[in-house]
Amino acid sequence: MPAGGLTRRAFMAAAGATALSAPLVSWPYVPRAWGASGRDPRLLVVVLRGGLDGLATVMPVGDPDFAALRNDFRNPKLAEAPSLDSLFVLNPALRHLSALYTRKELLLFQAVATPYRARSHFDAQAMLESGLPDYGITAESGWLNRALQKTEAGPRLKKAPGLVVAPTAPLIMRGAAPVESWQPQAFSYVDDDTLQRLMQLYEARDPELARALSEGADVDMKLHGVQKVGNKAQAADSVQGFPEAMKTTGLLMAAADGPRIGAINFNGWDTHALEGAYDGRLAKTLQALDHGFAALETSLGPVWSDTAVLVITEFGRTARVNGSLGTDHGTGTIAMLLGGAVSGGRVIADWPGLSQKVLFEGRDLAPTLDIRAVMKGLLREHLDLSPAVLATEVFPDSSAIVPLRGLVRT
Amino acid sequence: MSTSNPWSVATARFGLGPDPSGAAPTGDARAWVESQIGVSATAGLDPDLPPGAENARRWRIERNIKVARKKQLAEAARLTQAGLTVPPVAPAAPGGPQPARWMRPGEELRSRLQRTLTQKETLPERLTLFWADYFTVSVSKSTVLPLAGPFEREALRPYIFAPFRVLLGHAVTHPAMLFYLDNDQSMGPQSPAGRQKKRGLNENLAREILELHTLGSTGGYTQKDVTSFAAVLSGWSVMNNPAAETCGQSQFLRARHEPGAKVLLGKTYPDVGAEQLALVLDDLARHPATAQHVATRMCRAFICETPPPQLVARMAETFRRTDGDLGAMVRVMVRADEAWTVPPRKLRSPTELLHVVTRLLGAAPEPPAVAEALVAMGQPYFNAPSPKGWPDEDNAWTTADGIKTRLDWARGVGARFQHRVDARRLMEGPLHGLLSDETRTTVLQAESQEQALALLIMSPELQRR
Repeated sequence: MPAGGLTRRAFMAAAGATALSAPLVSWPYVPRAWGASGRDPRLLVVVLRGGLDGLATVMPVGDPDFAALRNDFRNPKLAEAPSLDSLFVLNPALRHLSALYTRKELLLFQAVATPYRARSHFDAQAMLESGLPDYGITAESGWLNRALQKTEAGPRLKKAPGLVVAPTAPLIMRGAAPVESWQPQAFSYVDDDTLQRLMQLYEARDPELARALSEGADVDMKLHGVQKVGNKAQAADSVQGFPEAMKTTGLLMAAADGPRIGAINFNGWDTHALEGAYDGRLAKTLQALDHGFAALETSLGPVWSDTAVLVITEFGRTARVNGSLGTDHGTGTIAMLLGGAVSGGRVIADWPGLSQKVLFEGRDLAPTLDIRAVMKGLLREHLDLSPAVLATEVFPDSSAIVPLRGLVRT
Repeated sequence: MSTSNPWSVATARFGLGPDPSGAAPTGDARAWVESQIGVSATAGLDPDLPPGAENARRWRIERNIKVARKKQLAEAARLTQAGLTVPPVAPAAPGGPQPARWMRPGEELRSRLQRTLTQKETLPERLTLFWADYFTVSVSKSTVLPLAGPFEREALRPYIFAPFRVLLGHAVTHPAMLFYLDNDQSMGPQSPAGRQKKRGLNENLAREILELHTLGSTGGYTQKDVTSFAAVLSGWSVMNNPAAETCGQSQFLRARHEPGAKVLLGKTYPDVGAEQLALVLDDLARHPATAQHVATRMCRAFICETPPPQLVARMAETFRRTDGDLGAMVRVMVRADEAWTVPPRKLRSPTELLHVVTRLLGAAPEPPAVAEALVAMGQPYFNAPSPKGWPDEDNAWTTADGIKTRLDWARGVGARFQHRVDARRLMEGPLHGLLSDETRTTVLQAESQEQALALLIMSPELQRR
C-alpha cells in the first residue's frame, strides 16, 4: 500500500517542507502531475447514523394519508416548507439544500432502503456500509473502499488515499485501499524530533502503528496552513462539530494533491422520543447538516463543480408517530445526492403511498428503490466504474440491481 | 508487552498496567490474576460521591431554575418591546441557600482514576469497564448526565462477580438505562395513562435488551417479540419531581403498564404487573444464546477479536451450567492457556490508556482535563456513539488521527510530569521485564525526560495488550 510503503526519507522530506512554511505540503506518495484534461471528481459520503426519519425530511404532503399519520407533529412551521414538486415539500430547516434544489444541484430519493428488512441499527449499518446483499456475514470491507481500489487504474481519478473524518474508520471505508483519518484536534502538535524517534521504534516493532502514525502526521502537516487549532474541539459527528468538520473536509479534498474520496459520520438521528421534526431536536440536527453542506461548498471553492456528496442512513422510521412523540425504527427512507457535479432539481420516487395496506408490515414506508441502484449509478457515472466491476466486486451479487442513470452532469 | 513474560499478560490483558507503588512484578502471575476474582469493585470509591437519585434531583433543580429564568427573560423582552413596564427578573445567582451542585461526568472520571491509584489489583476495574460498555448508557441524552457515573457505581460494580441475571436486572431497570433507551416515555396503549394521553409503546429498550444485552442479533427473536417485550417493560419509568422523596429513582407505574398476559419467544407470561419483567429476564438470562453472547463479547474484549472458539465454548458452557455465575466464567477465561499465549494485538482504548498512564505517573495526567483528552482521542467519556458501545476490534483504535493525537497528548503529558517522574526508574521498577530492547533503547536515548516519558507512554508495550 502506498501509505504503508511510505519511506522514512519521504516522510522527513515532507516534514522539512512544513518547516519552510509551505501552507500545503505535497503528499509524497501521490503523483505530482495531474491529468491535463477531463474532470477530477470528488466524492464524499455522509453517513447519518441512527436512522433518519425520511418522512419528516422529504415530506409527502400531497399524499392523502400523510397528515393523519403525522398529526402529532403538526406545527405552524410546516407552512414554511419549500415545495419540491406536486407531492413533496422539504423540511423547513434545510434552507441551503432548498437553494441547491433550485440550482438543480440537489437530487432527492424517497422510499429507498438497503436489502435489509429487520430493524437493528447495527445490522442495518453493516449492510449499508458493506454493500453486501445479505447480513449476518461478518463484512471485512466497505463498498466505498472497494470502489476506491477499483478507481486506481481509472483515467481520471488519481490514486489518492481515502479520507475518513472520524477517530476510527467506519466499515464503509475499511478495506485494502489506503485510508487516512482526521478529526478536530484539541491540543498542540508534537515536535518533529519526538515524532521521528517514535516512528523509528514503530518501524522496528509495530508496522501497523508506524503506518497509522505516519499518515496521521501527514494529514496534520497539510492542515497546519489551513486549520486553526482551537482549545476545545467538538466531535466531527455531532451537531456542534459537523459544520466545522465539513469545512475542513472541503479544504482537504480541494487540495490539488488531497484525497478524492471521503466519508464522514453524523450521529444523532435515532429520534425515539420528542422528535421535534420542525422546531425541536430533529430540526436542529437537520439544520446542522444543512450548515455543513454550505460550509463544504464554500471551502471546496471551484472544486464544488466536480463534487458529488451522497447522504445515506441505515433505515427510516415508523410512518406513524409513536407513543412518545417520536418514531421507532422503520424501513423506507430517503437518500440525497448533491454537489456541482449532480444533475439535480428532482425527487426520484416510485411512490408507494402511505395507506395502511401498503405500509411495510403495517408500520413503515415501503421501500421501492434499492439504495444500491443509487450507489452504483453514482459510481458508474462519477467515477467511471464499469457495470461488471460494480455488480461483482463493489456490490457483490448485485447484477439484478440496475444502476440509475442521469445522476451526474456529463 | 511480550507474551514470553506472564506478567505482561497479568498486568496488561487482565489489568491496567504496572503497579502504581513502583514495585517490580514477581511471583506467580496466573495465580495472582485468579486471586482477584471476587475482589470488590466498590471498595475505595470516594464516599462523597452522591447516589444517582440525589445527583439527578440536584441536576433537575438546577435545570428547572435555568428554564424558569429563561422564561422570565423572554417575557421581560416581550414586555420591553411592547413598551410596557418590566417586573424585576430574579438575578442569575440569588442569595440564600444554593442548591447542592450536581456531580459532572468529568468529575466522576477523575474520582475513578484516583481510585485506580489505590488499587494493586485491577481485574475488577477492567471488568467494570467491560460491563459499562456492554450495558452502554450515554450522556447524549441530557437526563443521563447526572446518572451515567452513578449507574456504573450502583448497577454494575457491585455485581461483576454475581449471577448474570442479577447484573442484568440492575442494569436495565436503572434510571440511567430507562432514560437512555426511552423507556421512561413508554406507555401501554391500553393502559389507563396510555388511553388518556393517547400515547403508546416505545420499543427502544426492549430491542436493545434482546439484541445487545441478552440473546444477540442472531438470537432468533422477531419484531413481534420486540413489541411484546416493550409491553412487558411499559410502566418502568423514573420519578422526575424534585420535591418527591423518590426523585431520580426508578418506579413501576401500573397506570402506564400494558395490561394482560404477553407472549414472548413462544412463552406466555401472566399479567402480574412489575413482576412480569422479572419473569422475562429470568428466561432471557438463562437462554443458551445469552450464554454464547456474553462469552463472546467478554473474550473479544479481553483476548482478541477472533477468540479461540473452544475458549468461548468453555466459558459459555460454564455460564449455562452455573446459571450465569460471572465469577465462574471469568475464572475459566483467566485460567485458559489461550489467554496467556494469544499475542498482544489489541490496541488499548483511550479510556483504558488513560487509566494505565494515571497509574504509571501516580496522578491523573492533567491538564488538559482528562475528559477533554478523551474527546480528542476519540472516546468521549460516557458518550459512546450507540447502545452497542465502542468498537472492540483489535485495531479499532489504530487510526492515523487516533495515534497521532495520542502522541500529541503524550508529549504534553511528558512536559508536565518531567520533574516528577523519571522514565528510567519506571523501566527499572514496575515495567521491569515488560519492555522490548528497542523500546528501552529508544527511551534511554531520548533527548530529555519529557521526551522519554512521551515515548514510553507511546511504546507498543503500553499501547497494546
